[in-house]
Amino acid sequence: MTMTYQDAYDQLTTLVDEIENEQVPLDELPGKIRLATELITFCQERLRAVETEYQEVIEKLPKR
Amino acid sequence: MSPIRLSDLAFTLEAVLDEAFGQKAMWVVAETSDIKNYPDRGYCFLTLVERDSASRETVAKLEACIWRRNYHTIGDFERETGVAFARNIQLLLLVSVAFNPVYGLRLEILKIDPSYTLGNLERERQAVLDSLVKNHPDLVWLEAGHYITANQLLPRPAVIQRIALITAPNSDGWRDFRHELAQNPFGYDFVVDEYLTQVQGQGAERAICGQLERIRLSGISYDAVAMVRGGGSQLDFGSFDTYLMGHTVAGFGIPILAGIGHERNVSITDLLCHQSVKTPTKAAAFLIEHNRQFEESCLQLRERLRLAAREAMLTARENLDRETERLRFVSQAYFRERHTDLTEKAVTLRHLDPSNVLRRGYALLLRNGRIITQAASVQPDETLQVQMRDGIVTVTVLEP
Repeated sequence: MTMTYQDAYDQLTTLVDEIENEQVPLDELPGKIRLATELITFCQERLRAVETEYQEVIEKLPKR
Repeated sequence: MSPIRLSDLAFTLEAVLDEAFGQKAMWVVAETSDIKNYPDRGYCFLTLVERDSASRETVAKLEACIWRRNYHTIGDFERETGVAFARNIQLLLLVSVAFNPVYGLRLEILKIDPSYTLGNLERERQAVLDSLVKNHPDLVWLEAGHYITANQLLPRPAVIQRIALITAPNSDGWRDFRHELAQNPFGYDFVVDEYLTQVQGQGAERAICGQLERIRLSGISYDAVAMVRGGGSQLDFGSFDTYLMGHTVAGFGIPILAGIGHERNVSITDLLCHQSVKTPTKAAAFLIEHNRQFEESCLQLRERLRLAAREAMLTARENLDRETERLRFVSQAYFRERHTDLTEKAVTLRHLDPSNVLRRGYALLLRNGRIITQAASVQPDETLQVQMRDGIVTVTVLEP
């Protein structure tokens, strides 16, 4: 099952919250930050894909 | 008594009648029959009758005529009432009595009164409406002075595309309606099934109701029935004012759009159908406009969809950017925190490091490498070491 945008975004938010609240042991920090960065990349790509699709679909709608 | 000549009798009759009626004109109510109309020559012969209201038997019957000088009264009457000058209609007539020894007794009609006929029509129409409301309260009822019918309350499809057309074959109404529909500037497609019939004259109401029945039995789910009649004829609305038509239209299961071409009065069909417009052209225009409104609402929805989708994506992007920025910020804060912590610990450690203490001039007293902290443990003559900043000195205790 592929991850949804919302899943990724929620996970990202949780990670940032954890780091912010210093709940992450230092040794785990690089892993967490790498994961957070991957989640951001995923979200950006997903968002860009949706934007592109939206442009195509909306433009394809017959004007009249 | 010796016989007199027929002409003498005729002349006497003429004199008597002239004496009695002369050039006097009087208003007479009578029913028309046996009309011989010569529009080209501008005169008309007819028979006027009075029937017993109960038995319908003729109680009086006189020949009548309209001469050229008053011939326009027929056209005036038809224009004002919308009723065709025809047999078997009750009229209020201004007449004078004329007698001719050769042609006999004849009433000359000087004027036909339209308001009498209009009043009668209105009364008949009201009577029909009253009995419809009384006999079919489920189909026709009054609300705040307006007639409401089951047909009016039928839901109107968002798009009206499949149409059953009731009209006269090859008539102006048929042409106008089809032309207007086909020429619509938006390129809408309509599927029109024609149910052709006479729409005026004797038997028209039965023919029209028969076509409505055919439509019902076809089982085709038409979006609407268009009933049109045109060509500017203002006469002969009788069929659209009858009980049968009113009842059929009010209770019909498909919305009926009427464009039966009249300007003066509103027929019972107009009153009780789903929607009424003046002409066949307007009926077609109504359908096109109805569909255009649907398209318009689609376009508006499309625009809202576009804006809402864009808004949603903007929000998502903003949120993502904010989280990215937050990640950067909290990571830096995390590191800063750890660094500060380590630095503080280092300072503390530095303070605690004995070499730093020695540097300030203090010394440690050791026994075999262990720090001595109690004077009582020191024995006389004992050998101890003194640790100073730059080295160790061995000392002997003189006195504890």
